[in-house]
Amino acid sequence: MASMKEIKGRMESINDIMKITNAMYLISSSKLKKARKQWEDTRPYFQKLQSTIKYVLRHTPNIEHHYLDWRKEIPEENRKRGYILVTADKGLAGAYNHNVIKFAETEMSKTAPENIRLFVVGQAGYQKFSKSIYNIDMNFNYTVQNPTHHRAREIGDYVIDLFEKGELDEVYVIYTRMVTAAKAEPRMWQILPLYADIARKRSDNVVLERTPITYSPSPEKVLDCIVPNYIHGMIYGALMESFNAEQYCRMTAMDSATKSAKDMISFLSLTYNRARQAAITQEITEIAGGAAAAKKN
Amino acid sequence: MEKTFKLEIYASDHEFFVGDACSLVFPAIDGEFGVLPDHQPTITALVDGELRFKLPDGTTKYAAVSEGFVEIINNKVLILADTVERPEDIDAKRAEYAKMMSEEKLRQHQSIMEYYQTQTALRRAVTRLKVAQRNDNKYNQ
Repeated sequence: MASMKEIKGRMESINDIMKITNAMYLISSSKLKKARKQWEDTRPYFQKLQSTIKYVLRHTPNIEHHYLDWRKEIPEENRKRGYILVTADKGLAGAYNHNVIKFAETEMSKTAPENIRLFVVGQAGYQKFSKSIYNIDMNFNYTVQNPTHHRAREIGDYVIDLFEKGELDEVYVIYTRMVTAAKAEPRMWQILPLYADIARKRSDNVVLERTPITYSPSPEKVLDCIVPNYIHGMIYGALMESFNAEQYCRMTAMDSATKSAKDMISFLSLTYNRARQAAITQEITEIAGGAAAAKKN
Repeated sequence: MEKTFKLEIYASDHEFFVGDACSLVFPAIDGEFGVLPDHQPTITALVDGELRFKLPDGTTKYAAVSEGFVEIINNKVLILADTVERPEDIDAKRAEYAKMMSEEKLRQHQSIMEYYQTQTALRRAVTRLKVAQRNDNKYNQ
C-alpha cells in the first residue's frame, strides 16, 4: 500500500486538475449557449437563401454562369481541389479534432496530393497538416473562435477568387455538423462549382419545370450578386456549426473528466483512510508490544 | 381596403420584418426599384442603400440595407440582405466619423483594391447617415 503522503499528494493534484476541467466545462457550456442562440438567429436567412438559389436554378434551365461551370474539359487526374477544413484551436475536446481530421484525410486520399490545396481554419488542424504531404495555404490564417459573418466573407472571397482564376476547379468545406442536439459528425460539402449535382443534370438536358421569372437586369448579373453571398452564407454556417460542435464536444469531454476525477478522489480517499487506519493500528500494536516487553523485564 | 402584398425582410443575423405592406422601394443594381401589389415574378440583386416600405396603416418605414437579393414571386416579396438596420439603431456619430475617415483615405494614394474598399465604406456611411436623418425628421414633426 502506498504511503499516506503519496496518496495525499495524488489527491491534491487530481483536485487541482478537476478545478480546471470543471472551469472548462462551465466556459464551454456558456459559449455553447451563446453560439446556439446566434445560430438560431441566423438560420432563417440561410434557409431562405438556399431555397431561393435552388429555385432559381430549377426554374431557369438555360443560365450559363462561371459559378455553375463544371469544367468538364479538365480530366479527373488534373482537377485541382481546394478543401476548407474547420478544426478547433485547442485540444481537450474529446474526439472532435481527431474525427474531423481523420475524415478529411480519407476524403483527400482520393486525390493526388499535388492537386490538393488545403485551407485550414483552427490551430489543431494547422499543426497536424503543416508537416504533412499536403499543400497548406499559408496566407490563410483564421481562428475558429466566435465565427463572424465578416470572417466567413473573407474566407469566401479568398476561395472564390482562386476558383475564378482557375487555380482551383472544385472547392469543398469539411466541417463538423450537429446531427442532433447531442451528436456531432464530420461532413463534407461542395461549395464550388455551385450545386454540382444540379449543374450536371442540367448539362444532361433534363427538362425541369419552369415559370416565367424576370431577372433584373439579367440572370447572370443576379447570379453574380447572389452566389458569393450564398457561398459566404454557407461558409458561415459551417463555421458556426463547427463551433457549436466543438463547444459541445468539449463540454461533454470535460464533464466526463470531472466525473472520473471525482471517482478517483473517492477511491483515493478510501485508500487514504485505510492507510491511515493501518498506520494507527500499527502504532498501537508497536506501543502495546513495547509495553508488554517492558513489563516482562 | 388597399391592396397589399406579403413582405419578408431577413438580415443575416436576425429577422427584420414579416408582414403586409402596400408599397416598397429598394436600391437595385441599376437604381431604385419600386414594388406594388401583384408585381410580376422577379429576382434581382440588392445593393447598399436606403430601403423604404409603406404599411397598410399609412406609416412608412425606413432601413439601411447592404448587399443581398430580392425575390418577388406570387405577390410575396422576400428580401435577404447582409445587414438591415433601423434608423433608430444607427449611430449617426459613428457613421459621420466613418464617412470622414473614408473621405480622408480616398485622398491618399491607395491600391485599386483599397480604393474600392474605401469607396464602399464611404457609400455605406453616407447611406447610414441618410437613413439616420429619417429618424430625426420623425421627431421634429
